[in-house]
Amino acid sequence: MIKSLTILFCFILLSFSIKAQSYLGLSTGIAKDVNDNPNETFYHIPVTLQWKPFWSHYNPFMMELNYDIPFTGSNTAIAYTLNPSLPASVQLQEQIRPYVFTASIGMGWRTIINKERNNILYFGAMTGICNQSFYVNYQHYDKVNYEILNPDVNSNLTSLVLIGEVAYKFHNNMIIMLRAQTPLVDESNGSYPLSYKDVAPLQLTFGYNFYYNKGHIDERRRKKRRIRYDRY
Amino acid sequence: MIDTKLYFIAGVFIFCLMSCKKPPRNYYADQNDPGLSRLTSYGYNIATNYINGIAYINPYNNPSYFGLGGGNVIPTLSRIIGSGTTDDTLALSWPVEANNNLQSDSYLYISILMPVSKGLTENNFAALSGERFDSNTNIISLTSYLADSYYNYYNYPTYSDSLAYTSPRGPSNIYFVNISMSPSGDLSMAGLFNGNIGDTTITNGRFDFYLPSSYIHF
Repeated sequence: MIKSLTILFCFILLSFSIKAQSYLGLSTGIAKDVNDNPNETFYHIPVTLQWKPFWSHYNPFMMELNYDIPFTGSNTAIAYTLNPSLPASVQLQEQIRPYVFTASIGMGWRTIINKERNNILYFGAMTGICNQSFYVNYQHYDKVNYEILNPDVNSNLTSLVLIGEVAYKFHNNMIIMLRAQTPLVDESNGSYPLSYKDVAPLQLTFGYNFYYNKGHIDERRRKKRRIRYDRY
Repeated sequence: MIDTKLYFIAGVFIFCLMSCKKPPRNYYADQNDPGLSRLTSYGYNIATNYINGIAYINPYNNPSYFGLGGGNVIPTLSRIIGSGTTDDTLALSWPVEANNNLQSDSYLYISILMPVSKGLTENNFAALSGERFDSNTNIISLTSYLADSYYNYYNYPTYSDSLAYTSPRGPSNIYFVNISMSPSGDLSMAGLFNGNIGDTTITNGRFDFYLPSSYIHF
């Protein structure tokens, strides 16, 4: 079994592009929470910055920063009052904004789809630290006269996450990427129950990869070819 | 052989000590009302209110050996039978203490008294869920025990019996936001209350109680 996995790993490595390069990628798009939040689904605009610092395909180390800017999610809550001159209960609109920041490191591999056009498929597997800040606001809430039953409150969660992503580079270094992030490993939010839970964004982003160290790699390749030709 | 038994007993004792877990306080501060808990309906057995602007809360009892007992003091729900054709009185009562170590406890006990028809059952009471009673109808009243009644308070056999003690009383509002009853007769109730007794004002009161059937005396 181990032998088979080793062979498979070597096969994947050998299938990599010989045009390994360092790059800095920036992309944005849309993200949907897939953590099955009970009352609503959160949507975000993600901004992802990727950096693969080493040109060698034998060193697949890469880093990533990701920030998810939320669309405001909405929920309802009921508030009650003892004041006989006011309605006994009112329904309130609750707004929840989860900001998600993730810093991760991991490995990225790639394989050529179309060598002539230099279209490349990237795979990434990373682990990171994720901070999720939830801001709760009740619209038109009369705090003096009314009390909300089982109110939600702001919360701030930080824990480990795992990330998997597939990206396709095409047409002059443009990139389209599908990125999935797990919920927080430690989801505990204290013992007070909230109507929401941490988010697990599934992102579809579009962006650009800025390649560098290209000349350095080409020079290595040229040297190799020269050596090869000299033999003959 | 004796040594083995001793080790075994010591091991069990240490295990018991390590497995002790205090019941939770379940106090979650209300951001808008300092010193008060949020209005919840999770059966946390917590009640908070201001008395003349000072936050009060029902006390917490530390558990005894092996973590038995303890937790937030559970209120009593009693029906005081009226004489003759007079309506009965439903009394929801719990002890209080200042929710701030800097303040002295001027008040020890709160009782919400509510006239009810004779023969009230637990099902009748559960049907009050969602009902708001205001003080203009004089349906309920609020009683607090002053510090000088400390001796009497601790010499009454049970909390519910302490209602026989004559204490200052005044009009009160109460709102049973939610009452639910389990098949075994346990009651969960959440609500709001306020009132005044002369110059003493009780404001922003909220409770979230879970009463086992043994605490319900009717």
